[in-house]
Amino acid sequence: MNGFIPLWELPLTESRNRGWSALLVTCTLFASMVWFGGSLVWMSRGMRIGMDSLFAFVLPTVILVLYWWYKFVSSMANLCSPINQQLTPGLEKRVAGATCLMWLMLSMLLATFFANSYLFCAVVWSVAAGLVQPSRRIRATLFMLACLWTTYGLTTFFLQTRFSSRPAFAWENVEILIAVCAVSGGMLGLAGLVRLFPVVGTLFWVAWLSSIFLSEQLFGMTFTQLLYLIYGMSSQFLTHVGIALMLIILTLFGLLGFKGDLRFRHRQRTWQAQAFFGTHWDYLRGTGLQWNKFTGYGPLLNLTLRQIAGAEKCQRLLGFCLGPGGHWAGVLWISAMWSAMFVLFPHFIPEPDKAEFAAMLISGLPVAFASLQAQLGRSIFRTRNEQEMLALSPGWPRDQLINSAVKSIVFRYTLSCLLSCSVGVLVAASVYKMPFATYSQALLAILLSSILMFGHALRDYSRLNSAEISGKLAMFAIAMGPYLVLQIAKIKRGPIEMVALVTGLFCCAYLLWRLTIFAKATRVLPAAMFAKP
Amino acid sequence: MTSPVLEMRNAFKRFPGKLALDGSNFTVSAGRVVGLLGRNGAGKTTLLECALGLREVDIGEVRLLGESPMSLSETARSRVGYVPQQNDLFEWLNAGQMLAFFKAFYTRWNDSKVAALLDRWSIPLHTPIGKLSGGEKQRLSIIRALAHDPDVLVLDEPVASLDPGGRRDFLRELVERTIENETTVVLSTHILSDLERVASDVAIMVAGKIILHQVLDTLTEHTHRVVGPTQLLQEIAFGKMLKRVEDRAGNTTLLLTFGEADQGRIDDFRSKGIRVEAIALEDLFIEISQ
Repeated sequence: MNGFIPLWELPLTESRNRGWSALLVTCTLFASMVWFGGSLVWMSRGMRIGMDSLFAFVLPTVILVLYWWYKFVSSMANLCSPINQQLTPGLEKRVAGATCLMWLMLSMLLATFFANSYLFCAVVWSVAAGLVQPSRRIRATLFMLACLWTTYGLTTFFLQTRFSSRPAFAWENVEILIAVCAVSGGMLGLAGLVRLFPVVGTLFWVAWLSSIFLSEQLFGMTFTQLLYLIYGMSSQFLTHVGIALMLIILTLFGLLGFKGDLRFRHRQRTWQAQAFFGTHWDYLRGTGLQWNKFTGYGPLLNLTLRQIAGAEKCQRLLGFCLGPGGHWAGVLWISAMWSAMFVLFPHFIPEPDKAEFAAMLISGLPVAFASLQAQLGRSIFRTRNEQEMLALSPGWPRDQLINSAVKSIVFRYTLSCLLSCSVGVLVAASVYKMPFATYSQALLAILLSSILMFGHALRDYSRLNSAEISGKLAMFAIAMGPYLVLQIAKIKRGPIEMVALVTGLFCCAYLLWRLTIFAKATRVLPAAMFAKP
Repeated sequence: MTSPVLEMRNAFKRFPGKLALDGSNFTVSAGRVVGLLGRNGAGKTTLLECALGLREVDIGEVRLLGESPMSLSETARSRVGYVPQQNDLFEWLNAGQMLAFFKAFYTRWNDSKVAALLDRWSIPLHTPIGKLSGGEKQRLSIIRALAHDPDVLVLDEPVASLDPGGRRDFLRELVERTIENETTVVLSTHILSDLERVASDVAIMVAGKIILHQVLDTLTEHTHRVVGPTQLLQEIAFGKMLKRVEDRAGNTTLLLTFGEADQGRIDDFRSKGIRVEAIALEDLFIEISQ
């Protein structure tokens, strides 16, 4: 195409100074992603499995499949009959709500009675149920609860590793949960600070993280002790009050975040304090992607970068892992970021075996990769209107033969992700002297995920139909299968346990599938852009 | 007879919790300027997006320039101009960069027209689009849509953010340069005075359906409000009934469209004490859309 100028080569440079704070936030978000992924993988390896877990996995699977089938059938009927118009929305809410509530209760009961890490089930299912919820607020709340639950489950798992005699549901664990929540809250508060005061905020944030790291290294103070020191939560009473307050506040923030920004005036300026996991409502309204914004960390990363960096150009460049400079040198930055993350983050955790924690983070990389896929398509063209304009322009690809420039940028993005993550893994492996089996699996998973990501991104430009959705699921299975098999092979259990575990992995696959497919398959993107010739 | 530029038959489009198009039928012939009226949420934007292939109808058939809008050929796309309702376009570019970017797509790009409009509407070329005012963005969006001299122009509330002067400029441009070149225009707006100045046809949309589509002059000249006792207005065997309302006092109000041939019947009505009065487009729209 004559005279074609790729959009991503045209950004203005005026907000480049915010790139650094955006980079810092990216680092934190990547860390949370790998933590999340790693906890999923390791919890499935670490939990005790029996008949109860079989129920725990299979029952909700049946319910969700039925619900899925129900939705499929009603959409097949095109929802055009008067009866469907009247019944469908109400029924959807009721079925989804019942599924969700029943499962949360069941998981809680199992967790209470069996005192193990079955909370993992609740995590998966509260997220999955949240994804099929029609209401964004419910989805947001569930997602937040799921994230908190993951943190709690992760903490429990590590404490079980450390103190095998301690019951899982101990108040001490909850204190740590509170501490972790407090840290999260502190980070988000600082993120707001960075948004308002980019330079001072960034410096303050770095100082805060450094103080945690140094106090542990220099004075032998544990992370929890430090948090007690910072937040003054040294009594049981305060801890319990803190639990209630924290959950209420976070839920409130989640709800507010979906309603809109919190606005406040100060010195004649209107500032926007973004709520916890909040989204920029005006932005969402313009994108046409509002149904799908909360389906994964990729969009979350996108939004947070937009909120904190304050300019889509930074997000766009960082989204392609090209750094604030906008060229290949950015890969070095991202490599350094991954390396620092894998080496430093284990020191922030109350877990004596740092190498083990680093390995866990590494095992979470594929999940982070899968989440990042969702970011790519939207990073290229931000809003639905932008896509509409391009979709109506002659010469712009509307079919599966995507534009060579887009293909090139997708390839560069994938390659830079692959390189930078591999460097990070190798650095962590050499620092912690990991066995070859551990990091080779991670490298293999990264490679497979990269292939998946590249293929997936290319397919974003094709129109989705049910056959292609099945194809994506198969693609996911092909890419992730060997990795998951390697993980499963480490558990030497009986047939029931294996059935339960495979069902659980199916749940994970389904979850990831929803994360990436749901966003593109619901026709919110301009259908014309994906039309076949 | 030439085939219509846009044809939509029995189109249904459903969003979660809302039926946006409920069996819409809409046909636009070449060279016509159709004003699309409807209350907020009536489905105008959805109809336009489905017509352009930016959304896919759930059921129904849509043809734009004789092709399916979901797979428009490059030739067809180069003949279409579109101004969306929201104009958050490429905010990281400035106006010059954005126009240069789009120019690359089109073989027919009227540089002189672009330059003239940029100058007349005082659009700063080197300011990022994100920093332009809403009206300036809207004008820029209009310039982008007009720049390749499209044969079909779809405008979704194009003057919503413009001041009266800007609206007048836009309408002048539309009438003098675009409509006179036999361009087919579909214009969605709430400003009826503007519509009356430029539109040749009017389509009124209510709850996802086009319930009225007529030539504007015919509609305004031949549509009357008829008010009289229900007994006398039981059966009307002429004209086109647009609306009928009976009140408890035994009176009936009709909205009727009839031709020159029916003038005698109107005189009969009047002789029986039935009130027959002309109705303005705005009143007609409110009456029909209620």
